[in-house]
Amino acid sequence: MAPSDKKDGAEKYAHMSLDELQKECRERDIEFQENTGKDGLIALLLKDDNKGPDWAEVFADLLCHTSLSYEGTLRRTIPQIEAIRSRLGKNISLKIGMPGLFGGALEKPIQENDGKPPKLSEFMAFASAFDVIK
Amino acid sequence: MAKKEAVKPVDLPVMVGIGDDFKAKGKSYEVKPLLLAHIPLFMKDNISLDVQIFNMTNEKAKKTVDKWLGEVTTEVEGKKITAHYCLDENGEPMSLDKAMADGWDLADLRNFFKKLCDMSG
Repeated sequence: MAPSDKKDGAEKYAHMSLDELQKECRERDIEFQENTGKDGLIALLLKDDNKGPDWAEVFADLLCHTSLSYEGTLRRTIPQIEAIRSRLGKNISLKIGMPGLFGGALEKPIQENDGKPPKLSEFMAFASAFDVIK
Repeated sequence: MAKKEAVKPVDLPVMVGIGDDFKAKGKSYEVKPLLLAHIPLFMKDNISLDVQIFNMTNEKAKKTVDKWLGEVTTEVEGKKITAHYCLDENGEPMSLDKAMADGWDLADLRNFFKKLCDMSG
């Protein structure tokens, strides 16, 4: 079974042996050469982790097992769809579609001046000063 | 009979589609999760989620930010699907002008987009 934590990097597979990695690849129907090393298998698993969900399957589940219409489904949010599908016993992790979104990058503080970031109005005034250079 | 796998309880506001609080410059705003219909549009708009300067340097980018703070509409099979993802304390949709009037800085704008993405899945 794949590790269920939300680590994005290779570290979540680092503790697995070569046999375990091969078993995981087989369970997920990932093709690999028998002589592929640990790093190669981890790369394949990470690629598989980042592939998007099968939205046709998601829509089919909702259309067939609930009274939601196609349009009604479009008006739902991902957390709502995940909640409904988990009650149907379906557990594909749905994502907005941006792998590594805010993957730590947002933890960096914005460059500040005098202890405060510039106001939007201040920044726009600054940016508009360059409008004449065209 | 097979044992049913435990599922995590989901709060009612999530199922109803009520948003979450977002604070900026002492004021409280409501941010709502993206509707499925609007996710492709959000991706297409290519908003810079980390460095907000890129969202403010030209008119097209500013209009995009204004749209996501205010009203977003898309048409699917001839039907318009509209949503407001950022509401002020009176429940009115925000706009870039309103955000500037409320004294938002680039960090507030980034926090808004972060919240929007975090709660959207």
